[in-house]
Amino acid sequence: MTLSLRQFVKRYGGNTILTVPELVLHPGIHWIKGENGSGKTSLFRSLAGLLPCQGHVQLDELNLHQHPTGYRRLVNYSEAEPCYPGFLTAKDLVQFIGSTRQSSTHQQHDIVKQFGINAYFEKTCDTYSSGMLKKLSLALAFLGNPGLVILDEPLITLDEQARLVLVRLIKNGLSHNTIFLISSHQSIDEYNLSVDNTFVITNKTLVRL
Amino acid sequence: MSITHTILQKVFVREFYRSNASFFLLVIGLAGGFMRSYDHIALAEFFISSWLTMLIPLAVWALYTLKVINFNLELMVRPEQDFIFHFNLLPRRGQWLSMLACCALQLVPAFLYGLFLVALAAKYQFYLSAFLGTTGLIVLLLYVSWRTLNGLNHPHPDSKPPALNEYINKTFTKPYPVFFIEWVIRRETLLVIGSTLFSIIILLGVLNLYNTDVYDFRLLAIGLVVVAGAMVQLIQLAHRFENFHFNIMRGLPLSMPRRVVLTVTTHLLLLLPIFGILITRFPSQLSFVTLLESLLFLLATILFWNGILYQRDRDLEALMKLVFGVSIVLIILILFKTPLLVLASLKFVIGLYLWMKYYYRFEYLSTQIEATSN
Repeated sequence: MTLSLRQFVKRYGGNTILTVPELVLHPGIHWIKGENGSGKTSLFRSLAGLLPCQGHVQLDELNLHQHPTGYRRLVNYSEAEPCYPGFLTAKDLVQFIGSTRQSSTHQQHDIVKQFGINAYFEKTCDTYSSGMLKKLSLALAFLGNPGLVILDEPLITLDEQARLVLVRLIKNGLSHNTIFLISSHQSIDEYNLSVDNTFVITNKTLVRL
Repeated sequence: MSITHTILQKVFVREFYRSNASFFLLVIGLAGGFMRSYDHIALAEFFISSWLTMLIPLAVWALYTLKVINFNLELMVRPEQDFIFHFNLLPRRGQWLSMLACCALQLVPAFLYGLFLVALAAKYQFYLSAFLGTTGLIVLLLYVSWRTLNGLNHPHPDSKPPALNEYINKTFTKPYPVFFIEWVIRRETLLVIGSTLFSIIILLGVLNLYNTDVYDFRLLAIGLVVVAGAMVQLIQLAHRFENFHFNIMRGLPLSMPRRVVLTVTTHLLLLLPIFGILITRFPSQLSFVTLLESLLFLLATILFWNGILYQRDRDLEALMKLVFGVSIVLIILILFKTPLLVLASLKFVIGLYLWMKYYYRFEYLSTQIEATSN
Protein backbone atom coordinates (compact mmCIF):
# COMPACT_ATOMS: atom_id res chain seq x y z
CA MET A 1 0.00 0.00 0.00
CA THR A 2 1.42 3.39 -1.01
CA LEU A 3 -0.06 6.83 -0.55
CA SER A 4 1.26 9.41 -2.96
CA LEU A 5 0.52 13.13 -3.04
CA ARG A 6 1.72 15.52 -5.73
CA GLN A 7 1.00 19.23 -5.93
CA PHE A 8 -1.61 18.81 -3.23
CA VAL A 9 -3.33 22.10 -2.39
CA LYS A 10 -6.12 22.80 0.07
CA ARG A 11 -7.87 26.14 -0.24
CA TYR A 12 -10.72 27.78 1.62
CA GLY A 13 -12.51 30.40 -0.42
CA GLY A 14 -9.46 30.99 -2.61
CA ASN A 15 -7.00 31.20 0.31
CA THR A 16 -4.39 28.48 0.26
CA ILE A 17 -4.05 26.97 3.70
CA LEU A 18 -1.86 23.97 2.93
CA THR A 19 0.35 22.64 0.17
CA VAL A 20 2.19 19.34 -0.18
CA PRO A 21 4.51 19.46 -3.20
CA GLU A 22 5.48 15.78 -3.13
CA LEU A 23 4.90 12.99 -0.64
CA VAL A 24 5.09 9.21 -0.79
CA LEU A 25 4.12 7.16 2.24
CA HIS A 26 4.51 3.42 2.72
CA PRO A 27 2.96 1.23 5.42
CA GLY A 28 3.96 2.40 8.87
CA ILE A 29 3.21 5.18 11.29
CA HIS A 30 3.55 8.74 10.06
CA TRP A 31 3.26 11.47 12.64
CA ILE A 32 1.99 14.85 11.53
CA LYS A 33 2.88 17.72 13.80
CA GLY A 34 1.83 21.33 13.68
CA GLU A 35 0.47 24.12 15.76
CA ASN A 36 -3.24 24.56 16.32
CA GLY A 37 -4.78 25.91 13.14
CA SER A 38 -1.82 24.90 10.99
CA GLY A 39 -4.01 22.76 8.73
CA LYS A 40 -3.56 19.21 10.05
CA THR A 41 -7.26 18.52 10.27
CA SER A 42 -7.90 20.05 6.84
CA LEU A 43 -5.22 17.75 5.42
CA PHE A 44 -6.78 14.74 7.12
CA ARG A 45 -10.31 15.63 6.09
CA SER A 46 -9.18 16.18 2.50
CA LEU A 47 -7.36 12.85 2.38
CA ALA A 48 -10.42 11.16 3.88
CA GLY A 49 -12.56 12.57 1.07
CA LEU A 50 -14.61 14.80 3.36
CA LEU A 51 -13.32 18.03 1.85
CA PRO A 52 -12.46 18.80 -1.77
CA CYS A 53 -8.82 19.44 -2.59
CA GLN A 54 -6.63 19.86 -5.61
CA GLY A 55 -3.68 17.87 -6.82
CA HIS A 56 -2.79 14.24 -7.18
CA VAL A 57 -3.84 12.00 -4.28
CA GLN A 58 -3.49 8.30 -4.89
CA LEU A 59 -3.60 5.17 -2.78
CA ASP A 60 -1.97 2.36 -4.76
CA GLU A 61 -3.83 2.48 -8.09
CA LEU A 62 -6.82 4.37 -6.78
CA ASN A 63 -6.94 8.11 -7.34
CA LEU A 64 -9.09 10.25 -5.03
CA HIS A 65 -10.59 12.22 -7.93
CA GLN A 66 -10.82 9.49 -10.56
CA HIS A 67 -11.93 6.60 -8.34
CA PRO A 68 -13.82 8.37 -5.55
CA THR A 69 -15.67 5.26 -4.33
CA GLY A 70 -12.78 2.80 -4.49
CA TYR A 71 -10.39 5.27 -2.87
CA ARG A 72 -12.81 5.96 -0.03
CA ARG A 73 -13.22 2.25 0.62
CA LEU A 74 -9.53 2.13 1.57
CA VAL A 75 -9.45 5.23 3.75
CA ASN A 76 -10.80 5.42 7.29
CA TYR A 77 -10.72 8.50 9.46
CA SER A 78 -11.29 9.22 13.12
CA GLU A 79 -11.85 12.86 14.01
CA ALA A 80 -10.21 14.62 16.93
CA GLU A 81 -13.55 15.60 18.43
CA PRO A 82 -16.15 13.30 16.91
CA CYS A 83 -19.74 14.41 16.84
CA TYR A 84 -22.73 12.36 15.70
CA PRO A 85 -26.47 13.09 15.59
CA GLY A 86 -27.69 12.60 19.16
CA PHE A 87 -30.59 10.32 18.29
CA LEU A 88 -28.42 7.68 16.60
CA THR A 89 -27.06 4.71 18.53
CA ALA A 90 -23.59 3.22 18.19
CA LYS A 91 -25.41 0.23 16.68
CA ASP A 92 -26.95 2.42 13.94
CA LEU A 93 -23.58 3.94 13.08
CA VAL A 94 -21.49 0.77 13.26
CA GLN A 95 -23.94 -1.20 11.15
CA PHE A 96 -24.47 1.56 8.57
CA ILE A 97 -20.80 2.47 8.17
CA GLY A 98 -19.82 -1.20 8.47
CA SER A 99 -22.13 -2.10 5.59
CA THR A 100 -20.66 0.60 3.34
CA ARG A 101 -17.13 -0.51 4.20
CA GLN A 102 -17.98 -4.18 3.67
CA SER A 103 -17.12 -4.99 7.24
CA SER A 104 -18.31 -8.41 8.43
CA THR A 105 -20.68 -8.67 11.38
CA HIS A 106 -17.94 -10.59 13.17
CA GLN A 107 -15.48 -7.74 12.69
CA GLN A 108 -18.05 -5.20 13.89
CA HIS A 109 -18.78 -7.21 17.04
CA ASP A 110 -15.11 -7.78 17.68
CA ILE A 111 -14.11 -4.10 17.49
CA VAL A 112 -17.14 -3.00 19.49
CA LYS A 113 -16.27 -5.54 22.18
CA GLN A 114 -12.59 -4.60 22.27
CA PHE A 115 -13.37 -0.94 22.90
CA GLY A 116 -16.08 -1.83 25.41
CA ILE A 117 -18.72 -0.09 23.33
CA ASN A 118 -21.12 -3.00 23.78
CA ALA A 119 -22.02 -1.53 27.18
CA TYR A 120 -23.72 1.39 25.44
CA PHE A 121 -24.14 -0.03 21.94
CA GLU A 122 -27.91 0.49 21.87
CA LYS A 123 -27.96 3.86 23.65
CA THR A 124 -28.25 7.09 21.71
CA CYS A 125 -25.17 9.26 21.17
CA ASP A 126 -26.65 12.16 23.12
CA THR A 127 -26.08 10.13 26.29
CA TYR A 128 -22.35 9.54 25.59
CA SER A 129 -19.41 11.22 27.26
CA SER A 130 -16.60 12.60 25.08
CA GLY A 131 -14.53 9.48 25.84
CA MET A 132 -17.36 7.19 24.73
CA LEU A 133 -17.75 9.19 21.50
CA LYS A 134 -14.00 8.95 20.91
CA LYS A 135 -14.05 5.17 21.34
CA LEU A 136 -16.93 4.93 18.87
CA SER A 137 -15.09 7.10 16.37
CA LEU A 138 -11.95 4.96 16.68
CA ALA A 139 -13.97 1.76 16.33
CA LEU A 140 -15.51 3.12 13.11
CA ALA A 141 -12.00 3.90 11.82
CA PHE A 142 -11.02 0.23 11.94
CA LEU A 143 -14.06 -1.19 10.12
CA GLY A 144 -13.51 -2.90 6.77
CA ASN A 145 -10.04 -3.39 5.31
CA PRO A 146 -8.53 0.10 5.26
CA GLY A 147 -5.20 0.70 3.61
CA LEU A 148 -4.91 4.15 5.15
CA VAL A 149 -6.13 4.96 8.65
CA ILE A 150 -6.08 8.61 9.65
CA LEU A 151 -6.25 9.27 13.38
CA ASP A 152 -6.60 12.88 14.49
CA GLU A 153 -5.52 13.16 18.14
CA PRO A 154 -6.41 9.53 18.88
CA LEU A 155 -5.29 9.58 22.52
CA ILE A 156 -7.30 12.50 23.86
CA THR A 157 -10.14 11.65 26.27
CA LEU A 158 -9.28 7.94 26.06
CA ASP A 159 -8.81 5.86 29.21
CA GLU A 160 -5.72 3.68 29.55
CA GLN A 161 -7.55 0.48 28.65
CA ALA A 162 -8.89 1.97 25.41
CA ARG A 163 -5.43 3.30 24.57
CA LEU A 164 -4.04 -0.22 24.82
CA VAL A 165 -6.81 -1.50 22.55
CA LEU A 166 -5.97 1.23 20.06
CA VAL A 167 -2.28 0.33 20.16
CA ARG A 168 -3.16 -3.34 19.60
CA LEU A 169 -5.32 -2.45 16.60
CA ILE A 170 -2.61 -0.22 15.15
CA LYS A 171 -0.03 -3.00 15.53
CA ASN A 172 -2.43 -5.41 13.88
CA GLY A 173 -2.98 -2.92 11.05
CA LEU A 174 0.78 -2.54 10.59
CA SER A 175 1.10 -6.29 10.16
CA HIS A 176 -1.43 -5.96 7.31
CA ASN A 177 0.52 -3.20 5.53
CA THR A 178 -1.72 -0.34 6.64
CA ILE A 179 -0.54 3.24 6.52
CA PHE A 180 -1.29 5.24 9.67
CA LEU A 181 -1.36 9.01 9.58
CA ILE A 182 -1.52 10.29 13.12
CA SER A 183 -1.57 13.70 14.69
CA SER A 184 -1.06 13.87 18.41
CA HIS A 185 0.10 16.39 20.92
CA GLN A 186 0.83 13.47 23.23
CA SER A 187 3.77 11.15 22.70
CA ILE A 188 2.96 7.77 21.21
CA ASP A 189 6.46 6.39 21.83
CA GLU A 190 5.55 5.13 25.29
CA TYR A 191 3.24 2.54 23.71
CA ASN A 192 6.09 0.90 21.77
CA LEU A 193 4.82 2.24 18.49
CA SER A 194 7.75 3.16 16.30
CA VAL A 195 7.16 6.22 14.20
CA ASP A 196 8.52 5.83 10.67
CA ASN A 197 8.30 9.46 9.61
CA THR A 198 7.59 12.72 11.31
CA PHE A 199 6.23 15.68 9.39
CA VAL A 200 5.53 19.20 10.43
CA ILE A 201 3.36 21.86 8.86
CA THR A 202 5.23 25.14 8.66
CA ASN A 203 4.41 28.10 6.47
CA LYS A 204 1.39 26.23 5.07
CA THR A 205 3.59 23.44 3.76
CA LEU A 206 4.01 19.88 4.96
CA VAL A 207 7.69 19.08 5.37
CA ARG A 208 9.52 15.98 6.58
CA LEU A 209 11.59 16.37 9.74
CA MET B 1 -29.80 47.97 35.55
CA SER B 2 -27.96 45.37 37.65
CA ILE B 3 -25.59 42.89 36.10
CA THR B 4 -28.02 40.06 36.93
CA HIS B 5 -30.77 41.70 34.90
CA THR B 6 -28.36 42.36 32.05
CA ILE B 7 -27.15 38.76 31.95
CA LEU B 8 -30.65 37.31 32.13
CA GLN B 9 -31.82 39.58 29.36
CA LYS B 10 -28.86 38.74 27.15
CA VAL B 11 -29.12 35.00 27.77
CA PHE B 12 -32.88 34.48 27.77
CA VAL B 13 -34.71 37.50 26.32
CA ARG B 14 -32.49 38.61 23.46
CA GLU B 15 -31.73 35.04 22.45
CA PHE B 16 -35.44 34.15 22.57
CA TYR B 17 -36.48 36.93 20.21
CA ARG B 18 -33.47 36.34 17.96
CA SER B 19 -34.19 32.62 17.65
CA ASN B 20 -37.87 33.22 17.02
CA ALA B 21 -37.56 36.24 14.76
CA SER B 22 -39.08 34.40 11.77
CA PHE B 23 -41.96 33.18 13.97
CA PHE B 24 -42.78 36.72 15.10
CA LEU B 25 -42.44 38.07 11.57
CA LEU B 26 -44.87 35.41 10.40
CA VAL B 27 -47.35 36.30 13.14
CA ILE B 28 -47.04 40.02 12.38
CA GLY B 29 -47.36 39.30 8.67
CA LEU B 30 -50.48 37.20 9.18
CA ALA B 31 -52.07 39.64 11.61
CA GLY B 32 -51.17 42.74 9.63
CA GLY B 33 -51.55 41.28 6.17
CA PHE B 34 -54.93 39.63 6.29
CA MET B 35 -56.77 41.61 8.95
CA ARG B 36 -57.71 45.25 8.97
CA SER B 37 -58.00 47.26 12.20
CA TYR B 38 -61.77 46.83 12.53
CA ASP B 39 -61.33 43.06 11.99
CA HIS B 40 -58.98 43.06 14.96
CA ILE B 41 -61.47 44.97 17.10
CA ALA B 42 -64.31 42.67 16.04
CA LEU B 43 -62.24 39.62 16.93
CA ALA B 44 -61.28 41.12 20.29
CA GLU B 45 -64.92 41.95 21.02
CA PHE B 46 -65.79 38.33 20.28
CA PHE B 47 -63.08 37.13 22.69
CA ILE B 48 -64.24 39.32 25.59
CA SER B 49 -67.96 38.72 25.00
CA SER B 50 -68.05 35.80 27.50
CA TRP B 51 -65.76 33.93 29.88
CA LEU B 52 -65.90 30.93 27.54
CA THR B 53 -64.64 32.81 24.47
CA MET B 54 -62.03 34.51 26.68
CA LEU B 55 -60.53 31.05 27.10
CA ILE B 56 -59.43 31.15 23.43
CA PRO B 57 -56.76 33.88 23.85
CA LEU B 58 -55.86 32.35 27.22
CA ALA B 59 -55.20 29.02 25.51
CA VAL B 60 -53.03 30.75 22.89
CA TRP B 61 -51.08 32.55 25.62
CA ALA B 62 -50.65 29.25 27.45
CA LEU B 63 -49.17 27.71 24.30
CA TYR B 64 -46.89 30.69 23.91
CA THR B 65 -45.83 30.32 27.55
CA LEU B 66 -44.99 26.66 26.94
CA LYS B 67 -42.87 27.77 24.01
CA VAL B 68 -41.01 30.22 26.27
CA ILE B 69 -40.51 27.58 28.98
CA ASN B 70 -39.31 25.06 26.44
CA PHE B 71 -36.85 27.58 25.04
CA ASN B 72 -35.50 28.54 28.47
CA LEU B 73 -35.04 24.95 29.61
CA GLU B 74 -33.39 23.88 26.34
CA LEU B 75 -31.09 26.87 26.46
CA MET B 76 -29.79 25.88 29.91
CA VAL B 77 -28.66 22.49 28.60
CA ARG B 78 -26.21 24.09 26.16
CA PRO B 79 -22.63 23.76 27.46
CA GLU B 80 -21.82 27.42 26.83
CA GLN B 81 -24.64 28.43 29.19
CA ASP B 82 -23.24 26.54 32.19
CA PHE B 83 -22.17 29.82 33.78
CA ILE B 84 -25.82 30.81 34.23
CA PHE B 85 -26.16 28.29 37.07
CA HIS B 86 -24.20 30.69 39.29
CA PHE B 87 -27.52 32.51 39.41
CA ASN B 88 -28.77 30.10 42.07
CA LEU B 89 -26.19 31.46 44.52
CA LEU B 90 -28.14 34.75 44.70
CA PRO B 91 -30.68 35.36 47.49
CA ARG B 92 -34.04 33.77 46.75
CA ARG B 93 -35.90 37.10 46.65
CA GLY B 94 -33.41 38.56 44.19
CA GLN B 95 -33.72 35.47 41.99
CA TRP B 96 -37.50 35.83 41.83
CA LEU B 97 -37.45 39.55 41.09
CA SER B 98 -34.85 39.21 38.34
CA MET B 99 -36.60 36.23 36.84
CA LEU B 100 -40.03 37.89 36.89
CA ALA B 101 -38.60 40.88 35.03
CA CYS B 102 -36.85 38.63 32.53
CA CYS B 103 -39.88 36.43 31.85
CA ALA B 104 -42.19 39.45 31.64
CA LEU B 105 -40.05 40.66 28.75
CA GLN B 106 -40.36 37.29 27.07
CA LEU B 107 -44.15 37.46 27.49
CA VAL B 108 -44.43 41.00 26.10
CA PRO B 109 -46.42 39.95 22.98
CA ALA B 110 -49.00 38.21 25.20
CA PHE B 111 -49.07 41.17 27.64
CA LEU B 112 -49.61 43.71 24.87
CA TYR B 113 -52.53 41.84 23.36
CA GLY B 114 -53.82 41.06 26.87
CA LEU B 115 -53.76 44.76 27.75
CA PHE B 116 -55.76 45.51 24.61
CA LEU B 117 -58.35 42.87 25.53
CA VAL B 118 -58.58 43.94 29.17
CA ALA B 119 -58.98 47.60 28.20
CA LEU B 120 -61.70 46.65 25.73
CA ALA B 121 -63.42 44.44 28.31
CA ALA B 122 -63.33 47.25 30.87
CA LYS B 123 -64.77 49.65 28.30
CA TYR B 124 -67.72 47.35 27.62
CA GLN B 125 -67.96 46.45 31.34
CA PHE B 126 -67.20 42.75 30.76
CA TYR B 127 -65.47 42.60 34.13
CA LEU B 128 -65.28 38.81 34.26
CA SER B 129 -63.37 38.75 30.96
CA ALA B 130 -61.08 41.54 32.18
CA PHE B 131 -60.46 39.63 35.42
CA LEU B 132 -59.81 36.38 33.55
CA GLY B 133 -57.39 38.06 31.17
CA THR B 134 -55.45 39.82 33.94
CA THR B 135 -55.34 36.80 36.25
CA GLY B 136 -54.44 34.45 33.40
CA LEU B 137 -51.45 36.56 32.38
CA ILE B 138 -50.22 36.93 35.97
CA VAL B 139 -50.51 33.17 36.53
CA LEU B 140 -48.64 32.47 33.29
CA LEU B 141 -45.89 34.92 34.26
CA LEU B 142 -45.52 33.28 37.67
CA TYR B 143 -45.54 29.84 36.08
CA VAL B 144 -42.87 30.56 33.45
CA SER B 145 -40.70 32.28 36.11
CA TRP B 146 -41.08 29.34 38.49
CA ARG B 147 -40.26 26.76 35.80
CA THR B 148 -37.19 28.70 34.67
CA LEU B 149 -36.02 29.26 38.25
CA ASN B 150 -36.58 25.60 39.01
CA GLY B 151 -34.47 24.71 35.97
CA LEU B 152 -31.70 27.01 37.17
CA ASN B 153 -31.78 25.53 40.67
CA HIS B 154 -31.69 21.95 39.37
CA PRO B 155 -29.03 22.01 36.64
CA HIS B 156 -28.83 19.20 34.12
CA PRO B 157 -31.46 16.90 35.62
CA ASP B 158 -30.98 13.23 34.92
CA SER B 159 -33.51 12.20 32.31
CA LYS B 160 -34.24 8.64 31.35
CA PRO B 161 -35.04 8.06 27.68
CA PRO B 162 -38.62 6.91 27.07
CA ALA B 163 -39.07 3.14 27.30
CA LEU B 164 -40.47 3.01 23.75
CA ASN B 165 -37.33 4.68 22.38
CA GLU B 166 -35.15 2.21 24.24
CA TYR B 167 -37.18 -0.69 22.86
CA ILE B 168 -36.95 0.65 19.30
CA ASN B 169 -33.20 1.23 19.60
CA LYS B 170 -32.70 -2.30 20.91
CA THR B 171 -34.92 -4.02 18.39
CA PHE B 172 -34.21 -2.12 15.18
CA THR B 173 -31.32 -0.51 13.38
CA LYS B 174 -32.25 2.73 11.67
CA PRO B 175 -31.78 2.69 7.90
CA TYR B 176 -29.98 5.73 6.48
CA PRO B 177 -33.05 7.45 4.93
CA VAL B 178 -34.55 7.67 8.42
CA PHE B 179 -31.48 9.51 9.80
CA PHE B 180 -32.43 12.83 8.20
CA ILE B 181 -36.15 12.39 8.81
CA GLU B 182 -35.62 11.92 12.55
CA TRP B 183 -33.09 14.76 12.64
CA VAL B 184 -35.36 17.25 10.88
CA ILE B 185 -38.45 16.26 12.85
CA ARG B 186 -36.57 16.79 16.12
CA ARG B 187 -34.97 20.01 14.98
CA GLU B 188 -37.49 21.66 12.66
CA THR B 189 -40.82 20.13 13.63
CA LEU B 190 -42.81 23.20 12.65
CA LEU B 191 -41.11 23.43 9.27
CA VAL B 192 -41.84 19.79 8.44
CA ILE B 193 -45.47 20.02 9.54
CA GLY B 194 -45.92 23.49 8.03
CA SER B 195 -44.47 22.72 4.59
CA THR B 196 -46.30 19.37 4.39
CA LEU B 197 -49.62 20.94 5.45
CA PHE B 198 -49.11 23.83 3.06
CA SER B 199 -48.42 21.43 0.18
CA ILE B 200 -51.42 19.29 1.08
CA ILE B 201 -53.75 22.31 1.26
CA ILE B 202 -52.51 23.68 -2.08
CA LEU B 203 -52.83 20.29 -3.72
CA LEU B 204 -56.29 19.63 -2.25
CA GLY B 205 -57.45 23.07 -3.32
CA VAL B 206 -56.19 22.61 -6.86
CA LEU B 207 -57.56 19.07 -7.19
CA ASN B 208 -60.97 20.14 -5.85
CA LEU B 209 -61.18 22.91 -8.46
CA TYR B 210 -61.37 20.19 -11.11
CA ASN B 211 -64.74 19.18 -9.61
CA THR B 212 -66.17 22.64 -10.24
CA ASP B 213 -65.23 23.24 -13.88
CA VAL B 214 -63.24 21.87 -16.81
CA TYR B 215 -59.53 22.62 -16.66
CA ASP B 216 -56.59 21.17 -18.54
CA PHE B 217 -53.36 19.94 -16.89
CA ARG B 218 -52.00 23.47 -16.43
CA LEU B 219 -53.91 24.19 -13.23
CA LEU B 220 -52.49 21.08 -11.60
CA ALA B 221 -49.03 21.86 -12.99
CA ILE B 222 -49.06 25.33 -11.44
CA GLY B 223 -50.14 23.76 -8.14
CA LEU B 224 -47.22 21.34 -8.41
CA VAL B 225 -44.80 24.23 -8.97
CA VAL B 226 -46.01 25.78 -5.70
CA VAL B 227 -45.71 22.42 -3.91
CA ALA B 228 -42.21 21.99 -5.37
CA GLY B 229 -41.30 25.46 -4.06
CA ALA B 230 -42.49 24.48 -0.58
CA MET B 231 -40.26 21.38 -0.71
CA VAL B 232 -37.06 23.32 -1.27
CA GLN B 233 -36.30 24.24 2.33
CA LEU B 234 -36.52 20.60 3.38
CA ILE B 235 -34.25 19.67 0.46
CA GLN B 236 -31.79 22.33 1.63
CA LEU B 237 -31.88 20.98 5.19
CA ALA B 238 -31.30 17.43 3.95
CA HIS B 239 -28.36 18.70 1.93
CA ARG B 240 -26.97 20.45 5.01
CA PHE B 241 -27.47 17.32 7.10
CA GLU B 242 -25.60 15.12 4.65
CA ASN B 243 -22.76 17.53 4.01
CA PHE B 244 -22.32 19.22 7.36
CA HIS B 245 -24.05 17.62 10.34
CA PHE B 246 -23.47 14.04 9.14
CA ASN B 247 -20.61 14.72 6.75
CA ILE B 248 -19.13 11.34 7.55
CA MET B 249 -21.28 10.39 4.53
CA ARG B 250 -18.91 12.18 2.19
CA GLY B 251 -16.04 9.93 3.24
CA LEU B 252 -17.97 6.69 2.82
CA PRO B 253 -17.32 4.49 -0.19
CA LEU B 254 -20.73 4.99 -1.78
CA SER B 255 -21.12 5.24 -5.54
CA MET B 256 -22.90 8.29 -6.93
CA PRO B 257 -26.01 6.35 -7.98
CA ARG B 258 -26.28 4.93 -4.45
CA ARG B 259 -25.89 8.38 -2.90
CA VAL B 260 -28.63 9.73 -5.19
CA VAL B 261 -30.92 6.81 -4.39
CA LEU B 262 -30.42 7.24 -0.63
CA THR B 263 -31.19 10.97 -0.76
CA VAL B 264 -34.17 10.56 -3.09
CA THR B 265 -35.57 7.75 -0.89
CA THR B 266 -35.35 10.05 2.12
CA HIS B 267 -37.38 12.72 0.33
CA LEU B 268 -39.87 10.26 -1.08
CA LEU B 269 -40.64 9.12 2.47
CA LEU B 270 -41.31 12.74 3.43
CA LEU B 271 -43.43 13.19 0.31
CA LEU B 272 -45.61 10.12 0.93
CA PRO B 273 -48.64 12.15 2.14
CA ILE B 274 -48.45 14.39 -0.94
CA PHE B 275 -48.08 11.41 -3.28
CA GLY B 276 -50.99 9.74 -1.49
CA ILE B 277 -53.28 12.74 -2.01
CA LEU B 278 -52.22 13.14 -5.62
CA ILE B 279 -52.94 9.49 -6.40
CA THR B 280 -56.19 9.09 -4.45
CA ARG B 281 -57.77 12.42 -5.43
CA PHE B 282 -56.50 12.68 -8.97
CA PRO B 283 -59.24 14.25 -11.17
CA SER B 284 -60.94 11.88 -13.55
CA GLN B 285 -60.85 14.49 -16.35
CA LEU B 286 -57.04 14.23 -16.47
CA SER B 287 -55.30 11.20 -17.94
CA PHE B 288 -53.28 8.57 -16.09
CA VAL B 289 -50.23 9.79 -18.03
CA THR B 290 -50.63 13.22 -16.39
CA LEU B 291 -50.59 11.51 -12.99
CA LEU B 292 -47.32 9.79 -13.86
CA GLU B 293 -45.92 13.06 -15.19
CA SER B 294 -46.94 14.81 -11.96
CA LEU B 295 -45.17 12.22 -9.81
CA LEU B 296 -42.12 12.44 -12.04
CA PHE B 297 -42.18 16.23 -11.76
CA LEU B 298 -42.00 16.04 -7.94
CA LEU B 299 -39.23 13.45 -8.14
CA ALA B 300 -37.32 15.64 -10.60
CA THR B 301 -37.70 18.56 -8.17
CA ILE B 302 -35.64 16.64 -5.59
CA LEU B 303 -32.88 15.99 -8.11
CA PHE B 304 -32.97 19.51 -9.51
CA TRP B 305 -32.60 21.35 -6.21
CA ASN B 306 -29.97 18.97 -4.92
CA GLY B 307 -28.00 19.60 -8.11
CA ILE B 308 -28.35 23.35 -7.64
CA LEU B 309 -27.26 23.07 -3.99
CA TYR B 310 -24.16 21.06 -4.89
CA GLN B 311 -23.19 23.50 -7.62
CA ARG B 312 -22.40 26.23 -5.10
CA ASP B 313 -22.80 26.92 -1.39
CA ARG B 314 -25.90 29.11 -1.29
CA ASP B 315 -27.55 30.51 1.80
CA LEU B 316 -31.31 30.29 2.23
CA GLU B 317 -31.91 33.83 1.00
CA ALA B 318 -30.02 33.29 -2.27
CA LEU B 319 -31.70 29.94 -2.69
CA MET B 320 -35.18 31.37 -2.20
CA LYS B 321 -34.55 34.04 -4.83
CA LEU B 322 -33.60 31.24 -7.20
CA VAL B 323 -36.68 29.23 -6.23
CA PHE B 324 -38.84 32.25 -6.99
CA GLY B 325 -37.18 32.81 -10.36
CA VAL B 326 -37.37 29.14 -11.38
CA SER B 327 -41.04 28.96 -10.31
CA ILE B 328 -41.91 32.01 -12.42
CA VAL B 329 -40.15 30.53 -15.46
CA LEU B 330 -41.91 27.20 -14.94
CA ILE B 331 -45.32 28.87 -14.62
CA ILE B 332 -44.74 30.82 -17.82
CA LEU B 333 -43.71 27.63 -19.62
CA ILE B 334 -46.79 25.86 -18.24
CA LEU B 335 -49.08 28.67 -19.39
CA PHE B 336 -47.67 28.12 -22.89
CA LYS B 337 -48.75 24.48 -22.55
CA THR B 338 -45.27 23.00 -22.21
CA PRO B 339 -45.92 19.36 -21.26
CA LEU B 340 -45.16 18.39 -17.66
CA LEU B 341 -43.01 15.55 -18.94
CA VAL B 342 -40.73 18.02 -20.71
CA LEU B 343 -40.38 20.17 -17.58
CA ALA B 344 -39.80 17.11 -15.39
CA SER B 345 -37.21 15.71 -17.81
CA LEU B 346 -35.46 19.07 -17.96
CA LYS B 347 -35.28 19.31 -14.18
CA PHE B 348 -34.24 15.67 -13.95
CA VAL B 349 -31.36 16.01 -16.40
CA ILE B 350 -30.10 19.37 -15.07
CA GLY B 351 -30.31 18.18 -11.47
CA LEU B 352 -28.56 14.89 -12.08
CA TYR B 353 -25.86 16.54 -14.19
CA LEU B 354 -25.08 19.18 -11.54
CA TRP B 355 -25.23 16.63 -8.73
CA MET B 356 -22.78 14.27 -10.48
CA LYS B 357 -20.48 17.06 -11.57
CA TYR B 358 -20.23 19.00 -8.34
CA TYR B 359 -20.74 16.49 -5.52
CA TYR B 360 -17.08 15.84 -4.83
CA ARG B 361 -16.14 19.48 -5.38
CA PHE B 362 -18.74 20.84 -3.00
CA GLU B 363 -17.74 22.43 0.27
CA TYR B 364 -19.65 24.55 2.74
CA LEU B 365 -17.86 27.86 2.88
CA SER B 366 -19.88 28.68 5.97
CA THR B 367 -18.70 25.50 7.71
CA GLN B 368 -16.23 27.18 10.01
CA ILE B 369 -18.65 29.91 10.98
CA GLU B 370 -21.27 27.33 11.90
CA ALA B 371 -18.78 25.11 13.68
CA THR B 372 -17.83 27.90 16.04
CA SER B 373 -21.36 29.06 16.58
CA ASN B 374 -22.68 25.58 17.47
